[in-house]
Amino acid sequence: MNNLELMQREMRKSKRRKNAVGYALLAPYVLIFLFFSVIPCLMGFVFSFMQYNPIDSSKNMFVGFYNYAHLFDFTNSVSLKFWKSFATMFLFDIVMVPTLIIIPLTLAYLINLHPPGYKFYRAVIYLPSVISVSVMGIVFSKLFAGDELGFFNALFGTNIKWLSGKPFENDILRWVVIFIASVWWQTGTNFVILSGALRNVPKSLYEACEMDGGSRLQGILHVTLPNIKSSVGICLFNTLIGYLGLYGQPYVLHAVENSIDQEIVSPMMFIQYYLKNASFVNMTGYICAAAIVFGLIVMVFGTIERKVMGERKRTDKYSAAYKQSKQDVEWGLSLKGPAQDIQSVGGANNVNSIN
Amino acid sequence: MLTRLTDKPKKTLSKSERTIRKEKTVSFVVLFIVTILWMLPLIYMVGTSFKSDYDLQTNPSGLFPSAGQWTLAHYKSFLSADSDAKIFYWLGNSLWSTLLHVGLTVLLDLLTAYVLVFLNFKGKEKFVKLLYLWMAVPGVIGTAPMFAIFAAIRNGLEISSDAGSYAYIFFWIVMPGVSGIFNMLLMRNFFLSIPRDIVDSARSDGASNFKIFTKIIVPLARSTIMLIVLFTFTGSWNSLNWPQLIFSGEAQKWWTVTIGLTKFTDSQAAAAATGVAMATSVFAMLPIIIVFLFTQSKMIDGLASTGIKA
Repeated sequence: MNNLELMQREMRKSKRRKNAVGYALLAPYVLIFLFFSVIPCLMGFVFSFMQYNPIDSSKNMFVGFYNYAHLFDFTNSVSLKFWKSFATMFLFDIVMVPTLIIIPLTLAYLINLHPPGYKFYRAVIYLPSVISVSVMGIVFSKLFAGDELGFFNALFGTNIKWLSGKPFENDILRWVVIFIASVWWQTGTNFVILSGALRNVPKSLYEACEMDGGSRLQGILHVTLPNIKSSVGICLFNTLIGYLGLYGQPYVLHAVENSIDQEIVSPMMFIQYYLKNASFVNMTGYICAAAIVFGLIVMVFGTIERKVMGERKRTDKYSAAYKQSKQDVEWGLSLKGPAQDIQSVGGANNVNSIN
Repeated sequence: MLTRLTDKPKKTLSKSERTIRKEKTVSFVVLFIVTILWMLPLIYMVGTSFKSDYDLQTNPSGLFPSAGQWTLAHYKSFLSADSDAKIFYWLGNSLWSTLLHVGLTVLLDLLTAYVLVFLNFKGKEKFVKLLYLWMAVPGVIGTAPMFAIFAAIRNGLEISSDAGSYAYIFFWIVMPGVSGIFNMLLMRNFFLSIPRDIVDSARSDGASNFKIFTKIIVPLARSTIMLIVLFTFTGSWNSLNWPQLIFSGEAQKWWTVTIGLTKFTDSQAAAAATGVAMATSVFAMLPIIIVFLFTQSKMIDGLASTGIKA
């Protein structure tokens, strides 16, 4: 009896000590996370209901939903700018985001056929992803310069004013340049992730499909797509979130007519512009409200993307059959099929064991 | 018996082999063209940086300077002390702050993921669940308040010396993002795939947590570490928004490379300025390109194999 009690006490003690060690080692992360992530967001929420000035606190006060009403007041020129910039960014994203899945996916498919020199191509296509956005801006603004000194204008003897025009009015050519530059700059990451996903599709699944008399297209539809879906989902999510927060590309490829800091064609640029300028310092509450509305929209899109990618589950019969055969081999119950099939199962086994 | 079994599929394979060969040719041609297109901007940049002022005017469509027009003048001009570009300061600032940021991130991720996977304590699962939820909250909500906090603490501390301001500003460049959730969960997911028997048997042999961590876990996590290094390095080196806010109104030699180079993105610049802009970009790109050349194969493989498990 006494002994048992002692043991229990001892156990409780060690449990408490274990808890203490765990909390202590977790503390650095939690503290940094709280200070740089949680607290700013909570403060942003509070500020959005205030007239807030971080420098002169004498006029700070709660104003209820005034900032939000102000943001949705389309007669106000500043709020109108926000929604116009949102619309511009959104139109661009509708074109840009699918492109940044389709082009990398095509290139990944081609690279996985392993043509001669594929490692070199892979490195070159990935290379722009590590280059900073300002270098990209310098190169592309010179390639597409609107005068006769621009590379493409000089090459084709044209005089196209690429990087010119006013936002929301006649700057479509500039968006073409931003589009091309973005494809060049950001194809790499998705390309590498997708080619890894394609490589990890077990070869035996294709063979199984072929043996069932499936055509090449059917192989792509029923084997490739279901197996890389989660990777496509990740790429789509990252690209979508990244391009909803569009900032760097239009900033470095700004129109000639505008000074570099006056460009507002995306919500991030809107927020950045009003934050950076000290003369708008008493608008901090309003900017927080705009950031929250924008953030909520981003969250909605993220959730929709996850739902769509998660729910549309195609029946993947080859994968199921493959898993079954793998299990069979593992249990040593049956060794059916030609010898090479077992080999390929064993090969794919290594890939799957990482999961 | 066995030979007949393996013979049969071989015949069908040869048919698909022919289509594979055809596809290979197509992919070779397409990828070759794409690769040339992809290299064009970089070749143009390097070539233009060596063009003389005269050549920049008369030969704008040439990828390389015409004969006899090669010059190092643009490199000399921005490297001189009175130049507009404080490229060495920028590179220095970018390099140390990025390395510190990457180092801190990796250390913190390793430690936290270890605690969350191999130690038992109350509330662990709830904490992970909270992090997953928080990952959906866009960081933009916190930008304005964080800038306000940055300014308020600076006022409160009454930092006036240059060294103090520099340290304070770079504290705010380095620290936010160190506790990024995505990277930490990436590490945690990898740790979850390590068989617990390894750790348990080491523990029953009397190994301390510290020993298990440094001798077993960290060596195993090398490829995930590489991946996080890649993500955080390029992210931090290229970050534009937040440093732009922090550096507004500060001395130019405190800037980072990415901020400094935005000064040169002007498509209407005169010919001479074009040369200098290109030379500066080439110079600023060198560190990253060198790192890339040595690590690209591992980097890409790591991204390809681990990225999908995120």
